[in-house]
Amino acid sequence: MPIPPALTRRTALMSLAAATACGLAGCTEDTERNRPRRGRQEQDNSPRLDPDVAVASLALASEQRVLDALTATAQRHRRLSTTLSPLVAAHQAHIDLLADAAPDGAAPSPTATALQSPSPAPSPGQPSVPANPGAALAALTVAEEQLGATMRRHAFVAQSGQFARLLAAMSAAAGQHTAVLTSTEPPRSRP
Amino acid sequence: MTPLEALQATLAGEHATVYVYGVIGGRVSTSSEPTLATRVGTAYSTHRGRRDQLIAMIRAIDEVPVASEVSYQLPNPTTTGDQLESAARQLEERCCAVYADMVGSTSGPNRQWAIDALNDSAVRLLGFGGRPDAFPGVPEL
Repeated sequence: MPIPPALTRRTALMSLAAATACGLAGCTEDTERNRPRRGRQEQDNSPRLDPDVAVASLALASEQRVLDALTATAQRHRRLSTTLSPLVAAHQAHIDLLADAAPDGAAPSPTATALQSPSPAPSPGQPSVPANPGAALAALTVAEEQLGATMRRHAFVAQSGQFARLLAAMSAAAGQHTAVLTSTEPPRSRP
Repeated sequence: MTPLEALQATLAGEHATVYVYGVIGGRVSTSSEPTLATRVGTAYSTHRGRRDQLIAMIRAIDEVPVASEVSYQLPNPTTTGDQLESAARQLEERCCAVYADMVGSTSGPNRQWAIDALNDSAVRLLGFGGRPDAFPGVPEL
């Protein structure tokens, strides 16, 4: 079996940058065909935005929401923090990588975010955490499950194969988190 | 890697995986390790199904699927329950890497297949004592 060449995080990002540089008109047609959920209007609003940069921005926003929920839950329910800390670290690693791929000016529009996420957009600021630790775990499980589905869609539509590979790995990480949270027994006594 | 090369590389990996799971399944004691035996049996069926899907996917584009080797080297000594579980975990880790490479080299339904397979193996390896990873299937990160 051929062994893929070793890649550092830096070279992965550089190839991503090279891939996103193709952008613009040449890729737009493919994007329209491959991404039926993304409307023409959005394309017209940001004609200079490379399709993969837009994907990175949306993925970044989704990862950040789940990281915020994990952090808030770990703060409210200290007994869960041991379980949650590796999940927090994984999402932080995803965010670090995606932040490098998505320039500051490429934040997703509220419309794009709403189209992307099946759930209603959460209010900004500190996410609310259920007082019951079991309910808090259940909420996180749903959040990770939805993130996994979102990242699988991003991996499917990404133009760059290298970027798609990374997005698919992030979706698989969310799948692992869902499994970990599902098998975690909530602490019985007070949080 | 071309899309066809990615399909063939994944099929070659699946041939090896089915073979090794067959060996592991023959060595796991169903009486003393019932949970492991069940998980190995399920994994064997899943990967055999994937192997057959890949063969069909390659034939669908009028290409000849790569054949299985006569035998494969097991990843480590496999006698005790812990060793057998470790072998299964390593198999799934290798599969994750192969599927992630396939994601990067394909598009459309074939890429979707690889994304789903990667997600499945990443969760399956937790059942063999694996730990969550930030980038399953991407060893350089």
